[in-house]
Amino acid sequence: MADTPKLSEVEIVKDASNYLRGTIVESLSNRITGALNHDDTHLIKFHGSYQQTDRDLDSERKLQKLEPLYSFMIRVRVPGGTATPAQWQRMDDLADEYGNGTIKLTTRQAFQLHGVLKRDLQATIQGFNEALLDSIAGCGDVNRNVMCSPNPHESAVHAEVYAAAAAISAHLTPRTTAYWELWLNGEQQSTTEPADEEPIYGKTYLPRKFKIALAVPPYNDVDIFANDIGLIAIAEKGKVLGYNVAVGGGLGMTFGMNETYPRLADIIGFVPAANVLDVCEKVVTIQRDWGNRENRKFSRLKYTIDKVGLSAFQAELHQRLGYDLTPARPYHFQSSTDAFGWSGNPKGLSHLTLFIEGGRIHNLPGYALKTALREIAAFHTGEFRLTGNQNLVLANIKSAHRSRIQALLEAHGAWPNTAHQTALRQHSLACVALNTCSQAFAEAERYLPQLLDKLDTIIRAHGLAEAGILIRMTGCPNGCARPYLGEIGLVGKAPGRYNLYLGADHAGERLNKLYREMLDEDGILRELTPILADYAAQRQPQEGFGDFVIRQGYVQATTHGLNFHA
Amino acid sequence: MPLPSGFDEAALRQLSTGLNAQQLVWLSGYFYGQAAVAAAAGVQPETAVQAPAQLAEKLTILYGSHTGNGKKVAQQAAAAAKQRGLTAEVRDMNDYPTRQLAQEQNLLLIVSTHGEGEPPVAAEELHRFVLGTRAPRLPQLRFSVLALGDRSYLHFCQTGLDFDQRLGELGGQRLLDRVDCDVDYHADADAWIAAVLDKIAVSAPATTSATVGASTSTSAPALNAAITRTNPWPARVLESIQLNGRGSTKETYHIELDLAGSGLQYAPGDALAVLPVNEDGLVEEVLRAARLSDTAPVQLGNESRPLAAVLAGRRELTVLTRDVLERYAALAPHAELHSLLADTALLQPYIYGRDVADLLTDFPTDQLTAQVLAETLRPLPSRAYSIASSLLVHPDEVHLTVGAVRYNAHGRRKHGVCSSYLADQVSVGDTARVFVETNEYFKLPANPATDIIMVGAGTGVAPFRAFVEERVELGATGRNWLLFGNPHFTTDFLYQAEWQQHLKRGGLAKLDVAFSRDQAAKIYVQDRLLESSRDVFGWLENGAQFYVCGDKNRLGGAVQAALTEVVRREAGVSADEAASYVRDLKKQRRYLEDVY
Repeated sequence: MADTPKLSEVEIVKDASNYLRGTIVESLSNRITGALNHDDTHLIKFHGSYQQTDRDLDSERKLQKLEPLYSFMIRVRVPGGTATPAQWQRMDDLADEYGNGTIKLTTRQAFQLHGVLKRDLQATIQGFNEALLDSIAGCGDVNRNVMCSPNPHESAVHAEVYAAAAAISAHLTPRTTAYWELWLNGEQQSTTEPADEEPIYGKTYLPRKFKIALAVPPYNDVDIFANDIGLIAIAEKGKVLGYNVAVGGGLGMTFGMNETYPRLADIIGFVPAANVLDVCEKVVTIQRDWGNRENRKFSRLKYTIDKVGLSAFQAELHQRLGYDLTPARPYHFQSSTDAFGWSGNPKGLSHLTLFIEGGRIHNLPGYALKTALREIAAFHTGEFRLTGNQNLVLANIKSAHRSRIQALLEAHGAWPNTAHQTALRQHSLACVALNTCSQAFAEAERYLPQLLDKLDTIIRAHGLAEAGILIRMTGCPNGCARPYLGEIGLVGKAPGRYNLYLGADHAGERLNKLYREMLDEDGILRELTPILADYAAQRQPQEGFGDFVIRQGYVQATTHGLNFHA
Repeated sequence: MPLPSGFDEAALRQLSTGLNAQQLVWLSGYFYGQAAVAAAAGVQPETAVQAPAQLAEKLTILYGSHTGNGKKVAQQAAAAAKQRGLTAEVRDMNDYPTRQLAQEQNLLLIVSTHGEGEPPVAAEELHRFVLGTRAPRLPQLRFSVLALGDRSYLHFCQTGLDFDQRLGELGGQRLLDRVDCDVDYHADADAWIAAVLDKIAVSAPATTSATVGASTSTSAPALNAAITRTNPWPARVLESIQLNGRGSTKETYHIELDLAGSGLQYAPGDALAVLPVNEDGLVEEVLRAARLSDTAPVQLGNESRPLAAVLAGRRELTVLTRDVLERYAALAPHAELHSLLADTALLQPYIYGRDVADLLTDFPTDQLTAQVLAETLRPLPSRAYSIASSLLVHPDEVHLTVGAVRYNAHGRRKHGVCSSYLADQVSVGDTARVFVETNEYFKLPANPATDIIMVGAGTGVAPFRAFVEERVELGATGRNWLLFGNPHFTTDFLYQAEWQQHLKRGGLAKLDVAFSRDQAAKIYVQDRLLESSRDVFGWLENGAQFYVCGDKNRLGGAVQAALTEVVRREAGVSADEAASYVRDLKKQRRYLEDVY
């Protein structure tokens, strides 16, 4: 008895849920509360939604004898980040009709709506479905949205990699019919025979979330090393030969628990393109069987690997595959960022990468981005590609539409955000944090722009307006905006207080390290100003900020997740 | 039912002979109130002293935390207590009734600290209560605090410290000094649990250690009769809370008033009359329209008062009535005014939405003096509000649910005199003049086993808050069913958190809500009655009493029509027979209305 591991609460809920149904039907019909039954709050994640409250109002409403203002965030999967103009318009409609009037582009190339009330969940998800979008496995202990570089230039290679991303996504999508039953009145979209059986996951799914990303060198704009599985496309003469496979990445950690840490994935070999789906499936099944189901803080694949050792993990993978991976092929990443503005062929198809601050599509006075994109979606014949850095590529724009798109963005005040910013701001990422995320200790998306106003002044004063320093802010240590891969990482610890991390590289291949704790805004500016001045004066040609702070000894380089805290 | 020791059955029978059930219920409340008075005075009520020594001591483990760590520690402590043969009750601060604190004997309090030294949301209410001026003395309390925190924060374990310090100040004895835990709390928490439970176990048999001096001489209850319209009680405002969430079109206040020392008693269903004061802006408008000075003297009986003071506190200004118009018409012989008075069909629309300033502006006269104006206008009446609290649950307090009445009419912003007085003019700490108006029929069933169905819309939910509190407190076995309606779920679900707690704990057997504006088609409480027709009829056939409170015009008729339809449908009778069934309910005083 003493040896029997005690399963975590979520494991017990999953087991009893009848393939993710739980008592969600009953929860939805309960008019007394805007919340779900407690157990269902775990299960709803698998359907792509988090129950949240408006934390700005929690105290006030408690005094008013009202329950917290519950609402739901719904995350819509967009494999590879590629959406059609019609899908964009639908998201825009649904944001206005049921959400808070904004769309969040996530760091995993997904759409998020916020502020959807319980009574509108079904109508919202039905709205996705009509546009051939879904939220299944948007969150939860399953494989999440599969990321793929949105880069539209090398179209043949990209098309192959995108197809692989879509195939992996489809292969690892939960098979339960609960999603169709609960939200779509039983209407099954897929033509395959529905069956409540999970051949890959089993009925308790994975111990924790699982993330896969595919990149095409030299761009690492999806930060593949932050994923449980990172796949690096190796191409020759415009044809994808296969992928270098990296395993065990993941950024979340818990403050005060140094046994939790961000970790970058280790490259374990090369797999031919034909076998990539097989490799992904087998890695998933090892994690399913070996992952920690007692304590969710240690459930990610990265801890599974560090517990048994990489070679034991590789041996098991070999066993399950029945063949070995071959040695990894050479590749080179130069950057994890997006290139903004127009590109492509002005006479043929062109592309426009827009900087979307905080990934938030909304209308503000003088900045009607949402309206502009909605109007563009009405005639644009290419795609809306969501980048892994919360930005948006209008891809494959017909030459006839080029000037019209530019004019619309200008007319709605949305052009300067892309055209006239410091590179620092354009390289910023922020998670949602307050007021809706229940994990947040501090502001992120709502605050970073104000901090950047102040940093911009310093940056400009030192002639660094063109220096693309990666700056990333999150409201908690769980890592949604990949703060530990920021050359400047700011992680919220208390209202108005942040830990400052420095020293990641520019291509997503090295984690940063804690530099100062619990800084308020004055503290952040006080600490960064002299380092930025030093960088302006002492940097070598092409030297990134993260490399510079290590060379100058501000922080030690982090060489592995296990020495992140060292 | 065995009597507690020290009680004599014959004496009790003598005391209760000839009393009906309702009077018995009242008496139980009266004695409960006396017990609370005695407890507040720091004296053990006699029954507690003579409690049998073998009764296990009460141990409560109270936790408040955001992450769930507090709950884990609390459950761990309860399990450890059980191993030692102690019975512990684990409570979440989030739904812990603050007034219960005074009854605690052994209290283990586990609380975390957030941000810049603030309590977690779950602990906010208790924290505010304990640290506030209304916290009771706690002479019988033995306690210990386990504070959860993070040393990297400036205000490490501040909330735990607050509770610890304050419980000590209130007279509580520390079982064990406070323990402050850092992020890795397990070892410290384990040690604290073991040490504090050892202390309790050692002292457990000493339940009768509290000795009592001479029994308190509590004054005979003052009679409500002493507090009247002419001698109202200046009740201090203890709390004034806007109940509607942000963005609501409604503006409803929950107001708590202090009755301590007044001797005022009330039962659920009674109303509290409030003597309002007109707002300064309106007084000025009337003075301007009348072209009179604010200091012009007015003789009222033996006293002379300035006109502005008389208009503010003694005369009705917000509403026009026929008698005022008649007196005024005698001074200001406008033909149009006389024709209005001659035809009610014309008078009604004129009066609607107009006030004294409108009248003076529409029909000016130079015949007006301060004295004449004061004699023309009518005395400012009190306004009565259905009481929203049970005196058993809130000794020495009375709670009101007040909807602020505001609208634009005839070119000016208008306010309901009393609702705006309560909403805008009196703040916490101020006093308002009040007295109780009993409502003879709108009362709980005499038999506590009788089911009740309560239909309330908007502020009409007020008396039902009192009903349910009272029935829960008395342990009434009858089922309680509330149907509530208002425009929007997210902002207008008055007392939502309390109803949820009642539903969870059985204080409500059923709760149905209708939020009229949350969907394209409007849905009202009467629609919910029809949806549940089988249950409604079943309850009625089982002897349930049916209550309606709210707007006379919009609610009263619609609910009666719906109930008649319920009977027609479920009893399979004609519409006439159903109507007669409902009429009979009214005759038997099982269908009771408090509509306004």
